[in-house]
Amino acid sequence: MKKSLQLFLGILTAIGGFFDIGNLVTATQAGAAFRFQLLWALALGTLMVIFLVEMSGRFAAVTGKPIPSAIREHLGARVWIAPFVVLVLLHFLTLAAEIGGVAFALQLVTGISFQLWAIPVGVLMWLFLWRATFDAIEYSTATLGLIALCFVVAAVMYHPPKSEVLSGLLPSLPKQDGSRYWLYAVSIIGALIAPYMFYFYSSGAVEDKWDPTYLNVNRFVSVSGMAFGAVITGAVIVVAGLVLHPLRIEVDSINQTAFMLTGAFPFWGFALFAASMAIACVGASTEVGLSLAYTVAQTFGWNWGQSLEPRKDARFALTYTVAILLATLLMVFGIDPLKLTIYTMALNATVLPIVSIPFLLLMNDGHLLRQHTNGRIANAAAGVIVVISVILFFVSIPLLIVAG
Amino acid sequence: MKISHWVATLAVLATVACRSDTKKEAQRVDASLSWVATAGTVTKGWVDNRLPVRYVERVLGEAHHQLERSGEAEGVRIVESLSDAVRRRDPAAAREPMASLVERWSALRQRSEQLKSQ
Repeated sequence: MKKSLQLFLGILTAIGGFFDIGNLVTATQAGAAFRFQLLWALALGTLMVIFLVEMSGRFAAVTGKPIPSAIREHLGARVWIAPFVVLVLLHFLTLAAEIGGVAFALQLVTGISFQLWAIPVGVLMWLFLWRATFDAIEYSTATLGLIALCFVVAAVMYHPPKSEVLSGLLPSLPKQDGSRYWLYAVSIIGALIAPYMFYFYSSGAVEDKWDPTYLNVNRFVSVSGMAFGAVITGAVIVVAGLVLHPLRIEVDSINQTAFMLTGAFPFWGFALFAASMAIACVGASTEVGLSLAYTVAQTFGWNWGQSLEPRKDARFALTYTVAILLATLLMVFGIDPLKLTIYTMALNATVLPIVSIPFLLLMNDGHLLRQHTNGRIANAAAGVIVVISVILFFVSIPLLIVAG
Repeated sequence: MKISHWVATLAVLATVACRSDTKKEAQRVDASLSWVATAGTVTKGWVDNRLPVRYVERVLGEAHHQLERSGEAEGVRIVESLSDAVRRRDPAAAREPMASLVERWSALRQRSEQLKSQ
């Protein structure tokens, strides 16, 4: 395939991977409660995720190895145990939240309970992963995910005050409800730096057989794809800030958000919202399901690869099969997808140092990366990421408790 | 410990307890405000033919439950009238309760501002 086409598809994939139930929920809550005041958290999280994704792609392109097996081989199995357990748990919770998101979108349209929808959604997702190749999964969900651009169009059509939007990009202190403000800031960052993002990206690069000639493609895809994804998430904050905030609607249920687009698209707004949510969650759930199976298979040294027939990597296929089954059951038993998303995003932020520090250490390993180890700028960014992730580690759970 | 210390301690505890009550009341009013606004917005969306009726029925049911939980009797009564109008597929019957809902929203908003300024 031509590199220019891969570049385009890569950007699409990055956008598709960026926007999911976590971003939708946290951005809507932030906009509804604090209007544009938390746009800075989105900007900060996006910068962090650009660096992490670029590093994970560079690592895969130069070494040809996925991150889990490289950490296990080069830092030792003991170092990998804690991040592995945490990653599997987080992947599982995120997978359940994404399946819940698809089921909830179907509930919006049909009126049939999301608990009932969870079963066909789980089955179809499993079939999709079982039958489709990596490229088919990557590009179909990413291309369909462009429907989320309706939030950007709506944000423009609502004519937000530009100066207020721009001032939201600068961190500021809340006038009231401080604990909720900081919890939402942490959740936005947690949703953006979901560990599955950079672990999946690196495994995908290995599946696509990237080599050092792809380093520029990687740089461009990680910067433009993530930035474009951030624009969509930013648009959700702006739309929620303009529609829900003046009405003083606090988002306690996804039902309270589904009419956000009807001011811009009177007859299509509701359907566009449901379609954006469903497609974003389908894309993210397939990525999370695969990423979970990649992490487990790469840790235990099993055969892995979505482009292989399931009988050639049976344990890899079994892993995502079991994960989808259990995550679907979690939804069938009536766990609220919104609450699960909020807790999972806060947990993402909490465990960031555990899953990112071993990887950032590897990025300075000259034996592995030769002349492509982190430079000064990347290491400075890594330092900032470590500091912020350690702060998040200490504040996320207390904030979740204090904010109720 | 001297009596004055006891009095001071009790005064601090009483202040903290009052603040906590005010905070709880503010949270209750904000939750009611949010669901009253949601009920009004979705019903308006249904009247304007922008939102499907099943979704509106579900949200009104949820609003009813949440308002009942937060002890907002007036809001519960209005949402019941709205639900009734939606069940009968009668947009004209929703006009009066929608106007009452707007009034209730304004009253709750005023109360919320008062509590937050305390």
